[in-house]
Amino acid sequence: MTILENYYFRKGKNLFLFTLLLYFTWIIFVNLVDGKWGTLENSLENLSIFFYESLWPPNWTVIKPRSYPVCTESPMFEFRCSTAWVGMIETLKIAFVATILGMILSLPISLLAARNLNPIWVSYPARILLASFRSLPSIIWAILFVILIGLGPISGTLAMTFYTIGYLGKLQYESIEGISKDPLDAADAMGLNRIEKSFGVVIPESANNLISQLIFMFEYNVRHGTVIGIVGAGGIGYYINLYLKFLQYDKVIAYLIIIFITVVIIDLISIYARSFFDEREKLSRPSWFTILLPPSLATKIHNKKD
Amino acid sequence: MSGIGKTTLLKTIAGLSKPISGTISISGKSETYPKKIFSQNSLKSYFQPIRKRGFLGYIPQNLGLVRHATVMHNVMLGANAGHNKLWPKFSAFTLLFCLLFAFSIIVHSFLTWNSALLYWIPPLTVLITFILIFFLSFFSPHQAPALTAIDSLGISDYKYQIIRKLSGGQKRRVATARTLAQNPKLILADEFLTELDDKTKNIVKSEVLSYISQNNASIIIVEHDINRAREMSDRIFQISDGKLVELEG
Repeated sequence: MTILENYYFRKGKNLFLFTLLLYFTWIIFVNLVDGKWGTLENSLENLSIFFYESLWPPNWTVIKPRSYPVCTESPMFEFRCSTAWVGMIETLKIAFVATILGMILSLPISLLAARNLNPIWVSYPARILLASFRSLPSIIWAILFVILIGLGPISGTLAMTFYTIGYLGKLQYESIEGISKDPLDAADAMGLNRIEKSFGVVIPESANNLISQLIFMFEYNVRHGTVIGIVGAGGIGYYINLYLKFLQYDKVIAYLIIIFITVVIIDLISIYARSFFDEREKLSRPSWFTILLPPSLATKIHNKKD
Repeated sequence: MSGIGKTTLLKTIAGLSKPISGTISISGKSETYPKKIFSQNSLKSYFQPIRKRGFLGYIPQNLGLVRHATVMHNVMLGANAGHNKLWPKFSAFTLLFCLLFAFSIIVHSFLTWNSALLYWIPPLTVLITFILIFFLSFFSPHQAPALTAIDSLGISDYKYQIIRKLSGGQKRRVATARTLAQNPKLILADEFLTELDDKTKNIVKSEVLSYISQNNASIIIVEHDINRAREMSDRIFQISDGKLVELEG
């Protein structure tokens, strides 16, 4: 038995390759820094000064109602007139519309781009089209549409729609290519045409992936909707940009906290929603709150879930 | 024996994989590989497929069902393939026409700057879609052969169950129902009766055999067990050293 067939040698080879990768990464980083390690010296002090003097505590006037336009809500719901609420809701609306529009437009292109449905001379142009949509980040699309259309949420929606087509289209054609070959074989042998194959076999077979990607894309668009507001394409990013210009970082951090909370909530909802569409068998784990209940009730709740 | 080319043979007959050289002939028509445009068979035979739509029913070893769709959806795929060529084209053109119509209204409303149109398009679209679905459900094209096949195989109790929730034997029955609803002249079945309980096996076998005798169709089955093969077949071949050898006929 040679050393090449030794189990531990083969395993150790992988470890050696990983160490080599880390070494190359370090070399490239050193090359980037180019000897200017001195810039790192006071960074932690700078951070603490910046944090305590201008960032903290957050200025929560951003959830107080604006002076203009005059708030007509009842005192309980006055926060609905605040800039944070208005901006966040606008961002959510832009993200929702852009995700659905992008999905509708990208699905035909990704059906064309799938290699298991179409020959190369159809799929590669479709892939190049999707790649061209994806090559510009959403903020560049936003700048483009702000120039074309003007400031406001329409340009933001269009910018995000175009980016969604590229990004979601790639995810979609990859999941379409990942479906099992047998249903397609059976459909081919029956003689179904391309439209019937798409709607009868491919879309139902990959529907779980498509829906979970759609939810992921919505969450992604909410996160990026904060960025495109900076160039004036609507949403909460407009206010962030405004207060960044006036160096009011305590208000900016308040907005960022609100965005963080929203993204976490959407993430939780999307995890919950995607759990309906993934294929893993759900092992019913006992919930944490059942430890507070009497055993008979706890077993009842545990058995109810599946 | 495994890896000997049984599935490849079926796929070649079904037209799913192309042979390097040789001739495939099905019910009088034949095609020769490698395909040449300027052969003695002229240009016409190059573009004319030897297998027409719905002629051939193929049941792969893993059944090839759409797992996230219902039983009825799967059987209707077969029924649509076998019965009418007009319906899918009609539905596709209707869809395309509706999309073009909606798009043209939106463009028109933008051009004429008539924002009132933009407000009543969405509810109108929803209403029209509902009416279309309501009336199209009365036509229900090709639903009868699908329902007949489902009834004959005894799976009508879970007609709208999702495939991935069914057991192996139930899936096998659904795949058979899809092929029977298609009304094919030639059925290709890969490892058709393996891993089935006796009850399911008898139902599937008797239904397929009665279909074949009634419709003057043929079936090609890949089978390992020679006793099971004898139960269903008239002629038995064995693949040995890459060649088909007839055992008994």
